[in-house]
Amino acid sequence: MSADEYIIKLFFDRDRRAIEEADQKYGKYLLTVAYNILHNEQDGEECVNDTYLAAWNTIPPEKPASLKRYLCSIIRNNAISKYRSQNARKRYGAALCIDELGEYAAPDEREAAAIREVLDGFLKSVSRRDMTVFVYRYYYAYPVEQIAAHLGLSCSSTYKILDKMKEQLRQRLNKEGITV
Amino acid sequence: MNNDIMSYCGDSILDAADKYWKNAKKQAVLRRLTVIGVAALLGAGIIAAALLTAAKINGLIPKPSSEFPEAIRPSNGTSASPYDPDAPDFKDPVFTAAEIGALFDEQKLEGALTNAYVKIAVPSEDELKYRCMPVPQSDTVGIYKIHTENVNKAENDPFTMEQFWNKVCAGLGVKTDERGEWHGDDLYIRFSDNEHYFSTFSFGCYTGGVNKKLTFDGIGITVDQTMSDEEMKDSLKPIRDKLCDTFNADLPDIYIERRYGEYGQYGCEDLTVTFYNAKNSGVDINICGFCSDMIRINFTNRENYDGAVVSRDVLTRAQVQYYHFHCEPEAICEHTGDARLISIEEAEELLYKGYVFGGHCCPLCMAQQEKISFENYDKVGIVYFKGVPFYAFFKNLHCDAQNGNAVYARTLVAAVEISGYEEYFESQKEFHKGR
Repeated sequence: MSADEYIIKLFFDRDRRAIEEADQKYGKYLLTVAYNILHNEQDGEECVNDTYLAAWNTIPPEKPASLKRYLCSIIRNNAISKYRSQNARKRYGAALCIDELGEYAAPDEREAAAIREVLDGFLKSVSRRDMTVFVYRYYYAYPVEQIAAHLGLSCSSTYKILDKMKEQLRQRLNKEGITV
Repeated sequence: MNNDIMSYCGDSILDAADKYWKNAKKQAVLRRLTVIGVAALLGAGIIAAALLTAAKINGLIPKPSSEFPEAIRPSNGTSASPYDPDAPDFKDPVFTAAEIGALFDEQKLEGALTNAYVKIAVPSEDELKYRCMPVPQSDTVGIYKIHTENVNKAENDPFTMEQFWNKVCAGLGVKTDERGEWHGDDLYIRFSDNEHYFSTFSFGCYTGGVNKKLTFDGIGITVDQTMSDEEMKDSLKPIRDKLCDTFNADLPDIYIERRYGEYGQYGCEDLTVTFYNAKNSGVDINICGFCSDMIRINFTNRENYDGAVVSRDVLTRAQVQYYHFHCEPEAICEHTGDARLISIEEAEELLYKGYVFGGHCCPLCMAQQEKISFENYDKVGIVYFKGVPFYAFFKNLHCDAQNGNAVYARTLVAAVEISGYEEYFESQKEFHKGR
């Protein structure tokens, strides 16, 4: 049994060690995801706690194939919602980099699957490096400088990669009738 | 539910990106080894160097266990990274290296940003004089403690929302029954008493996508960034006088800050004007920032969505904020004493041995940052960070930004005697264990 399977089993058994084990394995990773969006450690920690609560309340019946991915998806949503509500009060805060790609609320699962296919198809068509730059900027909200430093790129070339890919993705989505 | 486009991204894509990210660290190590290997082969003792390089390559490839590679020593001249053991032994240290590192240690997370240096984009080298103070011609330098604890406004303090709300609304042409906070389509007005040790009265345009020129009592709140600082100060006097009159303030002095980036066409990314009273400021604003009442106008010149600069000349997206402090400047920026200012030569020794600060001070992470040699640096000055003085070294990278701005690397060396350099930098490697 893998470590993730063990943790999921603890959730199913309603054993509170599930939270401890998940925190030990993914706590720092989840906090990084939240911090990149919120830029505040306290808010990030709150999001992590909310994530564990959401996981406790949804597993079961959910049985995620990838616990890491499942928790990441929850905390990302929590952090973005928190960011938006904080900035709705201020109305003059900086925009989130994630917003640069726009939003689209798919009306049903069929359409969500269609967007997923376009997006995945696009990201698979570019180099692994460019895909990673894009994912780490617009999914994990890492600062451009950090992405550039980690991948051995300059900031200006990283911006160029992002710029080009944003435009290409926009064109692909428009072609499929998806306007963001 | 969040509906940003990337929320639809499939797991296989995210897994592939995570894998590439993880492997990128190893690839960065191997890239540098290739550089070192080629440089060594070109020098004398080719065969011996090649054998040594091969041994280093084998030793440096991470093993599946928890071992991590040794920090790599640069081969092409002196550099700010990684660190060189045998740190200077100061006789009268003021801080430990751990205390200095903790000033910057704001991110204790996986993937924390590591800075052996930061990059600064400026239109010309002359602009750097605003990024640091001249090195003083004295043997000692001041140390300060910055207090950020909450200080409540005094009960009889006349600075209240009621005192100014109607006047500000009238000045902006806003008619509202709301009090304390109001949001219109293009503007907002807000009062706050809960900002640590000051209260604020704010109003302005939203930063994103709105090109509304702000006027107050018929006077436009704009600046023309093509003007010199002196020309700009003259042009701002009418609005300064109007705002001071509105807030019953005496703030005759004007301070201008321009910030530039590497990306986006033309001009600065944002520009801040501060009206203040130098007689009341109490402390050097270059050391502690502004700690007395001030009116600050921030002009945003960068689109939120794509980073493009909005205007080449006149900036109109203004946010105005009046800061009213609840305590004296000395209570915020406390002068705790003076210490020996180490010489520039002593600072250079620390610089070339890699004992620099600015972020996560880990020699392994620093070794993976794009290598920059600070030999023949272009400028040195003094900056203060959280009340502690540093030598700031600037080096022109000679790779202009996309918008034509020059890009300088800046790194910091503690300007006073510090103990425990080697132990601290060595201890930062612990961060990587198990990752």
